[in-house]
Amino acid sequence: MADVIGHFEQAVLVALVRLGSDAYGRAILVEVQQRLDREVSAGAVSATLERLEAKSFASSRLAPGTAIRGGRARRYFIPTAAGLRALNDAKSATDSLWRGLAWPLKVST
Amino acid sequence: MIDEQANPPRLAQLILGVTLRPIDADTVAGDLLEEYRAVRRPSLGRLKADAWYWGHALSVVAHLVWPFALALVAARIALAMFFAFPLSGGWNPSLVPAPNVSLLDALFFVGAGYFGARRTGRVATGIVSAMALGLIDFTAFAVVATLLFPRLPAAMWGNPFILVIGCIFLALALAFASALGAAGAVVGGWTARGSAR
Repeated sequence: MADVIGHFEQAVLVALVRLGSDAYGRAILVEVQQRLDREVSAGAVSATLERLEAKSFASSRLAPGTAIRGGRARRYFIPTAAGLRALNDAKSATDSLWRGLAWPLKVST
Repeated sequence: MIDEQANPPRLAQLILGVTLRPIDADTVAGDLLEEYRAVRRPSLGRLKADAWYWGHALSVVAHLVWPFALALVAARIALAMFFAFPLSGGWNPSLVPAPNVSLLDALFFVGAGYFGARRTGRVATGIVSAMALGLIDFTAFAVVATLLFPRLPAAMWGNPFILVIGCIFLALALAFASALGAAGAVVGGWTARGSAR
């Protein structure tokens, strides 16, 4: 079984899959914020990307910066095969947890 | 309208540059600058956009020190609950009769300095980490002091002398944190360079 990934790690990895070749820091931050529907800090995303790279779930490459970035480089991320396997495992685990239950759950008042 | 010359607060940029790993310093700062210039500054105005940038810069520092901050605040609360207040004295000697300068605080500051510098290989990261921890430590002390002596905040405003004493305590705590953090950071930076070789 692949390494277990946390909820926020999943959100960032899914953002990398959705963004494809456009997955750089700012785009990832905006995508995660939109998906989670809350403000997310750059520190949290940067720390998570660092962790995903350390676990070999994502890899990155540098690209030249633009004027609006003050010439600072962009770092593009892509999920690795191990990262995609970990995402699949996480999705399977969630699906298995819910199997047999009618959704949404009825709330008795 | 996008203003390509608009710049976030310099101190926030400096803190960001110091606390990020060298490999991230350029790219993460660039991401935030791009968002600041393209979206936040035009839509929020200077004051709110600057606050937004500060929030993100401080979030990077928070990710650096949160394990130490959590442990230190927990230790402070536990000690306040089970032992006498103030927290120094006896087994936990203090440099001078003031809060946040005890042996226990020193251990945390050295640790924050060491791990901060190890992360980036820069002594400055360790010092910033230790100072941020010192500020959190002082805030925790102030909260505990206010809970134990509820009339303290009102007394501060009523008697400026108490406010001055509080400011001196804060300055002492930050100086102590930065000195101990620097000591830990020198060792951390040295070991980081050693393991990189």
